[in-house]
Amino acid sequence: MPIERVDGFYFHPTSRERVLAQRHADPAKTPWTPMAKPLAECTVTLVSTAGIFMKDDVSYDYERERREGTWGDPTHREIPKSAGQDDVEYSHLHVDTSFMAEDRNVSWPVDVFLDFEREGKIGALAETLYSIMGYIPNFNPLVKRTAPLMIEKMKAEGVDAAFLYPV
Amino acid sequence: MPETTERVCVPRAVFVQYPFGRQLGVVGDYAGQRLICEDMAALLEEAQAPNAYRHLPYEWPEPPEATKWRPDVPPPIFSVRQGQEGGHNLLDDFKDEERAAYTDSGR
Repeated sequence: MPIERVDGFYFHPTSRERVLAQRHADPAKTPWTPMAKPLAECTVTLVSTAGIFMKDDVSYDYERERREGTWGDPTHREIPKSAGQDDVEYSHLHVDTSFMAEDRNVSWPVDVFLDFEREGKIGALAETLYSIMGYIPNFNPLVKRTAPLMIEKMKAEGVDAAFLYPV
Repeated sequence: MPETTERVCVPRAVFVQYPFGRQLGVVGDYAGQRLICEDMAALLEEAQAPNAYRHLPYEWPEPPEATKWRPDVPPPIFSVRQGQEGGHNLLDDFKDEERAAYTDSGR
């Protein structure tokens, strides 16, 4: 029977109590930017939380996370859209990233979006794609510093929309 | 996870009952991976107001007990949790050294 409502605890039932204890934000304050033009005219980018970084770039700070288990690296990495499957590391410590190492499109659909670009479904895939490492309990640096840095680069590249892929 | 996303409140989100690390499908299933990306693109174009959420009907081919998503090496937070029984609030331990600074400056 097709799923009508996704059960987020289906694969991770032990997270139920912790997740349901989170407070609710006010939906009336959710930000909103309407689409200004058809997707076929938009430049889009991708954002992953899989801890992706170029092999010649600096890794996320896993040494500190190993020392302090309630801390996660809040910085981001930029990945050129020309980077191939094996040009990057997939490094999140909380999720098995070995499947991404076999086929990035299980969570990082660069090849799908390159096809969208060729087919004209999107206007263009931006030159720069982005990743964070999604275990960031210390989220203020992410919100106050990392996100603005990514947004600044997206605006400079004329990005109209970002597709986020939480791992 | 809709239970988290609907608490955070985001402009648009698509939910699929697939495991962490493979939320677009199994290795090599390009058609299935693309289908979910197309669902995301459709919501981007069709949503008219924030908190626009869409649940996708696709079913994962394995039962959850047979589906691997955890890494072979447990993450560091596991050892922290094991040492804190009895209702200890882990949030009290989160090391957000910049939170106080931002709060103090009104940002």
